[in-house]
Amino acid sequence: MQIRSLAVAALAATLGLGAAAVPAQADYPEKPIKLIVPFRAGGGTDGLARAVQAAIDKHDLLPVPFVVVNADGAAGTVGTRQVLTAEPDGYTILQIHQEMFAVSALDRVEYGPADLEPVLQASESCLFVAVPIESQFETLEDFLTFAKENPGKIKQADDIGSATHFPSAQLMQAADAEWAIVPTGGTSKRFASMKGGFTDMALMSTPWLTKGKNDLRPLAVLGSERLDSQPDLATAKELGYDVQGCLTRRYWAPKGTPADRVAYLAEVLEKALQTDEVQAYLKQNSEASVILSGEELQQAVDADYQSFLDVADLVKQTSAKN
Amino acid sequence: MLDIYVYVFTTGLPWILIGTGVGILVGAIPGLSGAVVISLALPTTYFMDGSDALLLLISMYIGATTGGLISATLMRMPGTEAAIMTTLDGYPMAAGGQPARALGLGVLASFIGGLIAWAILAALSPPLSLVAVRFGPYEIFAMTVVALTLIAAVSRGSLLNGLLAAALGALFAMPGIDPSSGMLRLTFGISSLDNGFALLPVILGVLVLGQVLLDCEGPAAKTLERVPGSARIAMRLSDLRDYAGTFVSASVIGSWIGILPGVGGTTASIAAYSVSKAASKNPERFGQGEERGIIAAESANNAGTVGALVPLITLGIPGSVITAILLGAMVIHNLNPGPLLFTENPEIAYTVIAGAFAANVAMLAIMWVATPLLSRLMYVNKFYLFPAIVVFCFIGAFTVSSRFFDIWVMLGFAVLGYVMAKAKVPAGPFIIAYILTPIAETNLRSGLVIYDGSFVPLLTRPVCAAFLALAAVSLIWSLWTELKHARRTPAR
Repeated sequence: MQIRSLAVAALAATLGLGAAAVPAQADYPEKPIKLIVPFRAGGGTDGLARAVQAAIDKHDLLPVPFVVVNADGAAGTVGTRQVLTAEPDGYTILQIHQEMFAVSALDRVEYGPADLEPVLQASESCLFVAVPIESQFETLEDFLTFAKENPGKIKQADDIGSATHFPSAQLMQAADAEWAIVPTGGTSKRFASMKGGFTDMALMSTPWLTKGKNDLRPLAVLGSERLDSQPDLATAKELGYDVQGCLTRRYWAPKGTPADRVAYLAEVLEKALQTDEVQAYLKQNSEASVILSGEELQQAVDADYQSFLDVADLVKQTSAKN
Repeated sequence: MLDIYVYVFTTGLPWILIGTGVGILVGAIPGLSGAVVISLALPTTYFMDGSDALLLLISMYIGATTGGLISATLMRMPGTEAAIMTTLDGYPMAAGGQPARALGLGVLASFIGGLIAWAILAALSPPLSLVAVRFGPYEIFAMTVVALTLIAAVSRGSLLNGLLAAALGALFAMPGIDPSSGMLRLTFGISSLDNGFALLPVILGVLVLGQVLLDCEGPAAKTLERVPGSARIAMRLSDLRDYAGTFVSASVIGSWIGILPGVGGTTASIAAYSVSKAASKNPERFGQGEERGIIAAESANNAGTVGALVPLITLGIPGSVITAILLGAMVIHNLNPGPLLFTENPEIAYTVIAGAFAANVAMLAIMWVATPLLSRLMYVNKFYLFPAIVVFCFIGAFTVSSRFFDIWVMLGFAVLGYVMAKAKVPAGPFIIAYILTPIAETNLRSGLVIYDGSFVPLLTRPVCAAFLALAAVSLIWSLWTELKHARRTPAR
């Protein structure tokens, strides 16, 4: 049986069949694989997880069911803990973005990214600096100069201690300025707060470039390259402020999961991510498909987490002023 | 635009009926909330046409809000969070031998509330959303303070016990992540407490399982005496005339609170109930089966449910958990909800509006048929229902975060609910304070950052000042009536 499936796999490989099932190992997988989404249903993390699940089902990428479980709570830590304590047998995995780095960098939890095994990076969605359309600030330079000359004047709508607070702190550090962070919530609440005239700036996700085009003025994108959809919008780095602010969706397994199983999962997930359906989903949500695995992924994770640790003190300092 | 209504009532009708029916059923079962069922239904809509998917989910949303009144009225257990205020008068009326009347009034009120909010949604969405975003953190904080001071209005018996309950409720809302420092507080190093005490386990514990414990020992578990003819006369047209003021004021209050992002149908119903009691000539009848109490609570929660669609379709801002899921569903179906929806995809905005109308009509039709049957449940020995209710509570608590910790939380709060009832500490103010405290806190602290740590804008911003004045008046008024009451009955 094993020989035959290997032969089929070899055949599929030589024929270059794109979305064919990844050959199963001798004793794995034998039971359903559970993907924990540590946020509620209907959000961005859940959306990608469900799209991947649908692609795995449709293209028979796994011989066993692939189950998505929502374990929402405490900025993703409730679900993450369920993966941390799960058997490292390749049957439980996690999908999360930089929110995990945020809680660790702030010492809100005792674990860190080193306590999990990175499996695969799926997508990247970079934030942009937005001001209300009627704002006096036309450029990032205008904004940062004003912020530097008028300490405490600027109010930024953000979610305190969250993954977007860190790039905000990086921006302050790069510009040698400090401003007030107003606890507001996710991007739609930030939008309402700017539109209501209560805050002056916020980091917004890329879908808001189109959704908010009548109400917001983008000043710079916080990625390493310009966005395909917005070639005229400069990156902060080009403007002289080396700030990276992207949400990167990654899959993780419990520490100690056998390497061959991690590799198997990475292969299945990568195939699912490369299906037309998932690619269409990512495009629709303005997320770039940036797939990384193995050593490359480990380096990206390390660099990313270090950038969070570097500004952790500034994040704490711009919280809890009252 | 008319063709959208035609579509909704023809091709879309099956989805409306399924959605509303399932919503009502789930809403009626404590433990199964609208949010849970909509999350579960979401993946199944991936294979549907985008507007059909929206119709299905919106119908579930509206059905679930209404369904909560069934268990609230017949068993004093709110099937959904928004039905908490309905337990106060719905159950006493039903227990007094008029279950069909109590249900009928609730359904009629839900329909009128939904209808008025729909009219507002259809006619005024874009301008209202602009007013709503100007309603800032301090305004919402001041409004919440009014609702908190009206707690006295819902505490039966001593004001002191009501305040004690409210203080406890506020305390249990504290643990978890501090909204303005992002750090943990009052978790005592227990990592399971990082998320605090979640809403569903608390409500299920205090209001549902606590009630089960009480009923198990009391005479309430025995079969009630059937009152002849009690299954008839569910709704009367004359109600519309007699209670027009309550219907309209509760629906308008409910719609407005629903429109404010992040406040929701429960707060709407708390506010409308309190206002209606304060305006009543016979406030002492509230809590004893007063018709206006049922009308205010149910008109407002349905109006709030529909009102929450205003920021959703005009700005892409979800006001509640369920509208956040609806927003997710729209994104999945490539409907791009946001400030441009009305101008760039008006047909989607109008589908939502038409769907809200159709679901409201479907709800009335389904409940019209079901009320006489449902009212018989009142006479079923509750011991037959308890096992199922307990099972659903366990399922509901587990679904919050897929973990057992929330079940233990629920059981703990069940004991608390039971002890509070024994000590005559009312559960109403407890739950209201538990729900309103986080809203008040986050908005106050946001406001403090925006206004550089100054409280002055609370008095200089006209809307804030008006709300705070109202809060002061209501506080003095409740103290005054309490004193008067105490003087009249010195022996107590």
